[in-house]
Amino acid sequence: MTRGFDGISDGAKDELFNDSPYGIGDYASFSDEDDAAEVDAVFRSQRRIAFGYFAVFLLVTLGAGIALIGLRWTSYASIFGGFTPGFAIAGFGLYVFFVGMAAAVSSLANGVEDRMMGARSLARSSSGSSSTATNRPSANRPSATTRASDGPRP
Amino acid sequence: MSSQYSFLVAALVLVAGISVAARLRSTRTAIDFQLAGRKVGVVTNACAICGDYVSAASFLGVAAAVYVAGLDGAWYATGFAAGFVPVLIFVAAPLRRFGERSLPDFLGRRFRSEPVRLVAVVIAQLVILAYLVPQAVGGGLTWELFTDLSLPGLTPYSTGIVSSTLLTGLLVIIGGMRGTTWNQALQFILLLAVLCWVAVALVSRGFDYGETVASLNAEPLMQARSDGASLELTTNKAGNLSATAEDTELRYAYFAQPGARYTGLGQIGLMVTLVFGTAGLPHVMNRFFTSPTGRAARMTTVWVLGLIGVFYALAVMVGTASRSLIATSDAVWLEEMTVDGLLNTPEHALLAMGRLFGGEFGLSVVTTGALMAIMSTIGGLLLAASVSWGHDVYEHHINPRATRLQALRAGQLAVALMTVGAAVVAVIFNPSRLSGSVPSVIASMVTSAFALAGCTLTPAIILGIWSRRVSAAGIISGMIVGAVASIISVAVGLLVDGAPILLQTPTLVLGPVVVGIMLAVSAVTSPVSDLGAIWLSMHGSASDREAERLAKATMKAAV
Repeated sequence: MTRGFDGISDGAKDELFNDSPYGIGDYASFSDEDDAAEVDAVFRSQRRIAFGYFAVFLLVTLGAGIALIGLRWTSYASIFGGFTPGFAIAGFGLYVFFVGMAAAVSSLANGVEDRMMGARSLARSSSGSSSTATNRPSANRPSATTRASDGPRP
Repeated sequence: MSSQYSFLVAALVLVAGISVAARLRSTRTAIDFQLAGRKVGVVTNACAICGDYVSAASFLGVAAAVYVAGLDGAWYATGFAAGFVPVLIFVAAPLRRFGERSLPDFLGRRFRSEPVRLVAVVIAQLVILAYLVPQAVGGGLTWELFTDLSLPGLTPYSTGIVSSTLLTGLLVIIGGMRGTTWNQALQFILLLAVLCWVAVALVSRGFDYGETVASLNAEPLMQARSDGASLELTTNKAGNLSATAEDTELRYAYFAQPGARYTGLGQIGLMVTLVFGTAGLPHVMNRFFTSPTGRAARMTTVWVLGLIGVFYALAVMVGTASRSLIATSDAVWLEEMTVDGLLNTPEHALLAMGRLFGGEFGLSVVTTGALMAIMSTIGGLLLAASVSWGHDVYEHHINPRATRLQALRAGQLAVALMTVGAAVVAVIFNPSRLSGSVPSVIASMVTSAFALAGCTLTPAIILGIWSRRVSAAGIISGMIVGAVASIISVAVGLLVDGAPILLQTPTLVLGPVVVGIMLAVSAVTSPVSDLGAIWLSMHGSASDREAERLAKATMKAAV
């Protein structure tokens, strides 16, 4: 039977977390820990980022829609290859904006979490109390493997 | 077997094989059946979410909307894609980190309230039904167009409904979330490949996108419109039907100008409804619970925006090309589908392009794509319904001591019942009763699901994640008012001739009202006490870090 670094078997974890009717599905309380003050600070930063970017998103998306309705030249002018500004924006321009914005906001949000959380676990790890590296991953929990193979790295 | 059916049969055999393979891999527990063990990788999940999201309304409907309404149709696609931006910014990572199985489950635990859970279950089922029935109807219509084959005692239309829903239900029961995930990912790749094939065929024949837009924009945008007895060509600008308007640019609609289908306010209302509805769609948001970590859920959404952006941009291009090419084609088979070069049924635009470039086999490929789009969306909807009934109702209220097997069986039974129910409703449902234009009914019903979700579940989820002050009473009040008001609004908008388009897309008005009610009622009631543990789980990243350490350890051990 494999056991996590918290000393609890992985099978028991799955039973407790994944298979219980309450399906908590995370291991935060057993293994690593977040500090309440850290989380509160991160929450406030993330909220600022989220609402700030959302304001930009609304401004650009709805602003583009309103501009196309209100500014007649967007329907007549030719910008490149025969496209009108309005059709270029709705046909492909906004998709590029969405992806660019998504990359920026996710990078920022990930960076905030990396910088502002995990200090306690890092300290614990450096003092030798964490034995993560000595634990074998459970066959029941290849999610971490999956994530490593095709997920983003911080 | 003729080439007409070979591609369809091959695709069906492939998806059935995937479901069986997933079954062999394991569906031993409810968590495995409903969430694929929370082990779905970023790219796979992104493709599966796209497959879940892209229904027939998107695959055939976006090209059709552009064909009919030019720029207004392109905005429809933009709204579908834009919906994932709020999902990324506000919802994806915290939703996954709280680690629940469904949206009602998330809300029930966030507000520590079973009434919140049950109200959310009812609303989620209504959203699922509003999405499911038009998918089944679309299955019937696509089958009817493709072939006259039918099961004994059924029309081709009913055969399409019964076969698409029952087959999908069976595959979901066999493969669970794991099989459905693989199938949805594969089905989206197929849809994208079909659009890429048409795009490459266009470019290789010298298609000039910009010049085509310019030439289409030079003449008033005509369309074939049925008056019940015959078809005639008409054009007008939405909200400006004055026959005496002398300025033709004000009176007539043009391809690259707004106003062919929506008034200015109607267009903004549609955008807002689509943008805010996505975060409340149970079948789409449930997929985020299958991500291994919150950060993986966040990055999955970035991939979704990239993939779905490519998909919709191609669909808009193909819709534009079809407007030009079908009118100038001399293919004999187009004559019975067109009036003066314009399609009677705009949803045939992509199918016609497939046949123009690939003959009968090309038509078969596009039709298979349409049926796959329908099946993948139905699969996601059935699974979402299964989780709601199996977990939120059965495990929480009917049999709290349910064993793994009982929970699994309850979910599978829910899939079976929803499958049969959707098929029956879709067979009984006669689209022509509602409107003379069947495809617009399908699109309208799908949009109504976005409206209901955007006026109920979306504000509840966003406030639940980002505000400590909202209470269970506030959330329940807002969701009930939002549900009742949006259902009445959409029903009036669909059933009353000449009703303002805003009634069909009420989120612009009702969304702020619902948020106001939630906050106002919360201000005079008690919020959830001791939010600390919930906040740590939802906004902390300890679980992500542990998964990352395990991943590193696993990789090291493997090396």
